[in-house]
Amino acid sequence: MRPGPLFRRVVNRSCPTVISNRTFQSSSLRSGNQRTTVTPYYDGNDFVRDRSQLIPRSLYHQPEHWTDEPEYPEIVPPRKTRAFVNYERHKEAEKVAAMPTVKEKMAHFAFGPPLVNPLKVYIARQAKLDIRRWYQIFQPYEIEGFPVKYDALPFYKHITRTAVVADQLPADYYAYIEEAELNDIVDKVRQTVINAILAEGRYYSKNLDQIPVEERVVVVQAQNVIDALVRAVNLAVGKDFPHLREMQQDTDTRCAAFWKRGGFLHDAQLKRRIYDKASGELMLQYIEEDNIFRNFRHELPLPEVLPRESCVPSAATEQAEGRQVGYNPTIYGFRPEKSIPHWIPGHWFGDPCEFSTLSLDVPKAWTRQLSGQDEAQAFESLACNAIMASFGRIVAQAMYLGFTFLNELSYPIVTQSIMTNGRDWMFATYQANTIALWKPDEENPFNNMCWLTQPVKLFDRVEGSEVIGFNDEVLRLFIKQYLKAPVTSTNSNLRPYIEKTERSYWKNEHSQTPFYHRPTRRDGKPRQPFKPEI
Amino acid sequence: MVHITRVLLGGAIRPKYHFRRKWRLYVEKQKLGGPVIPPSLLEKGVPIVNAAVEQKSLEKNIEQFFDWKPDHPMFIEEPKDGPEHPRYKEIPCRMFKEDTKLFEGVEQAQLLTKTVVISDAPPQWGLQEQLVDALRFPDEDERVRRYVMQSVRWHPSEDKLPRRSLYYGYVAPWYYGISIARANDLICQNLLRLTEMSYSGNSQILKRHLVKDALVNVDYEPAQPDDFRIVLSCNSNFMLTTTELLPPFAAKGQAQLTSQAELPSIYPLKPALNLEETNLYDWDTSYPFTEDCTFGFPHTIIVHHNAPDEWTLAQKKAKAIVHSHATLAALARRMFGKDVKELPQPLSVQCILADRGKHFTFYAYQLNTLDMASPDGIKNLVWVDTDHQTVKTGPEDDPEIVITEKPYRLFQLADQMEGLMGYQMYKEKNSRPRYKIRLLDSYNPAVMKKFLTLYATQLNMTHSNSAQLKEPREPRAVAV
Repeated sequence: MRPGPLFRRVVNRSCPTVISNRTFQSSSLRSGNQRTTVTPYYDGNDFVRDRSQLIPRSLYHQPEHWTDEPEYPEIVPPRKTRAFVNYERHKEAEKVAAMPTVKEKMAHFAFGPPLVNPLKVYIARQAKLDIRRWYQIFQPYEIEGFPVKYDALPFYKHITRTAVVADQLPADYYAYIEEAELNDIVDKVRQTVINAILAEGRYYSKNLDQIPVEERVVVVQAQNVIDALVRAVNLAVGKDFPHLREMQQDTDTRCAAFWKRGGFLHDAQLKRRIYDKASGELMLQYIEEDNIFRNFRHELPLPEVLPRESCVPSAATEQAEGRQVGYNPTIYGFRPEKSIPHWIPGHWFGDPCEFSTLSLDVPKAWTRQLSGQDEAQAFESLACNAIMASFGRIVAQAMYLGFTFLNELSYPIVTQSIMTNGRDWMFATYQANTIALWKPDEENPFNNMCWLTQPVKLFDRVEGSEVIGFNDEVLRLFIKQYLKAPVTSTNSNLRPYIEKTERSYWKNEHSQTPFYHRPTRRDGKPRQPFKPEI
Repeated sequence: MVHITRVLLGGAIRPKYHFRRKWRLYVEKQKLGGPVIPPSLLEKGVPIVNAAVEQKSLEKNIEQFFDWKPDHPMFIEEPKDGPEHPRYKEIPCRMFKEDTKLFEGVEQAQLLTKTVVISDAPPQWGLQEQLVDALRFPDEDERVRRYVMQSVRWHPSEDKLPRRSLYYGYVAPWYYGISIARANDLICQNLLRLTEMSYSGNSQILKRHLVKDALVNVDYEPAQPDDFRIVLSCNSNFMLTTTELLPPFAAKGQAQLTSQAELPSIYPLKPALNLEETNLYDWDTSYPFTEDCTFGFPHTIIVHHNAPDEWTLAQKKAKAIVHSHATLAALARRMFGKDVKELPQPLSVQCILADRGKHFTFYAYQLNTLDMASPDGIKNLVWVDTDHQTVKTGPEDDPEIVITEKPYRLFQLADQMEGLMGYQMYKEKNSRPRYKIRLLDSYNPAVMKKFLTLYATQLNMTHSNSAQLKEPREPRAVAV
């Protein structure tokens, strides 16, 4: 009688580590800083009946293959079901969450498993061929900020899971500044902005001839007015609000974000990929190339507008807003394009200021498409643009913070957007509570929120050397948004899924780090210590 | 040795050829039999129309259906460089443009603009520099370092950089990244932003106005009848303007002393040596602001230098001197009339030459006269402020000290990637391995100090930032 354990341990040959006896239900998505160490392994091979046959005979009697209590393998849900999709997603989520750097996470989603033969890659490198072409296996739908078809607001709400509060900004959120102080700032700023509007026809610029007359109003005037406005506020109160100085400013930047959204009704892609069919899941890639004129970023996030728990979709609001459509993006003019998924929130990775506070967009399509539309249609187009720009930027910046569409946000992220052509201004405040949109809406408790104003006119027209109908309300709204300060400190970890959060670019802090291509000294002595030349 | 071809790698081989071949077969087939009209249609009496013929007739008459007159500049044909061109003049001129390199450097610029050069900062700047220290934020260095990194590394633009010609027989690939012009623009914008933030709270600066791409055109009649006309066409990338004229940098007596100074000679060369001869030019003086504009007096101009070829320091100085001169000359003709010779009141401006967003030189220009015909009489003045490098050589007892003039260098990258053509962020296509820009080696706070100094001109400075910064009035929310 052998004294050892009685039950045979289930061992997979390709997985020498111990398999946990937890079932699938217990290994749910982790939240917060909690980190699991053991991942359930399943190699996808259903055809091995008796896994004990995989154990070599010589090891059969070793005690580590026997246990006192039976350990059952995890229960894999049957394929071609919704449960199996969930199972795979949770496994992938744990895998991505365990990756220590953002680069690895991005590479995981961008390139997936290594499908290309490494030998082939080696030969291609020798032949100097572009192997990135082989990796372009995804065909996400390319979504633009400005809609190309009418009646697109329900679609944009669906792909971003946003509830819109129209015609107002959250009043309590912007109550930090008193009315008298606001009036003071407006008085200081007003004349500079009027000068900028007047300067439009008053100085001759070299590049002005290259821009058509219609777009000149939008592009040149908008840029001049925005510049003047930001500059005037900086001059007036830059010292009193230190976060203005601490912010990084992006100029003529671009934005891109990739995520997956469930709940679509039918698609040719879904026909092919049977697992995603159950959830109706599509890949979406948002790309904004040249409309973002200014983007301000800070090291710390803006405070939340509402507590996350209160941003839950209610049946009444959904009914009021109408049915959320799950129609194919091709209906709205967006086509699948071969591309590598990528994320750009206005800057490359490495900048310490990662929380976008305010973005000023000048949509070039403004004249082309809005000229023939009435007010309601114009509002709808701009609302689409505001929602998409805010959500896309947040998804991209969340990726740089370590959150993906599989690893849900652990705190809400707030950002502000302004759509303008220099004369008409539209203000938006956006709070993202969830970016895990691959789940069906029933399983996701949270909703994203967007507060929007109607387009407001900064001025009516210019006659001679007078600006007629100048509206202080635009200045007030702008100043309220621009001066809204981020939090001073946080108790929670802002990047729970990344191990190393310090971003350093200053060489003094890297004195111990060897540089890869650096020539070494021939005499074998250590390198000379760094001497600043100043 | 097996040659690695696309056949071995399994790529698509001559897809266009195969497509054409298939298509030709298909067309031939059609020609043989012709299109078959279904008999059922014929029975019903459906009219059969040849689509090709219909299409052609539609294309001919398309103007009836559309009132389509494009007015976008891209549809307007550019006029040819001949007598039909609206800017064509029969008498050719020599034009100074953005990319004109004056070979003889400062001396040539002196002759063109009748200027005496002083290789030092003007005395006012020395006084202002002492006051400026109180204005500097404690975290100023960190801010500027981030601006530098943004302009060389973190900005996500994908400008097409010029090809590098590495060596003969190798076609270098295209690179995409931050072009020099964009890096330069980013740096200047951000330094200006931080400068203005440092002065915030001072009510006088609210009168200042910032303008981009201010173009100035100045024409000079030939001094001798066999000389060329001269046109200076100068574009300042930024122009900071005020509501009042800048005070003169030199006292009246000092300006009168310049009549005794002699201009250098570059004989047998002529000053208009490198100016391009052309018939297309504007024969008038234009200043960027209209006459009724109240805030059009220049304070500081920022001139970008992004040329891909190598310029000496003297040639860059010459560029800045001509730009400053042209700006003031246009203003003087606006204020005192077209034919003004000796100015009743000297005009002055400050200039910053930003070379690739990395090297900076600073100038103060004072315009005393526009009498270009005669080399005598009162002359204009320019102060050139550059950095100096001191090198000690030889034995310790009797060292030889060499002082070299060089521009203020804002930063130096730790990695060996220098931004001659632009800053490349990642490998594009099958490129050779290149150094990535990761770290900043050194950074020079003197540039930011100079920006602050130049901005302080014409201001009454009363406040300071180096003291404890004011606390935000309300305690901000803490929980996230």
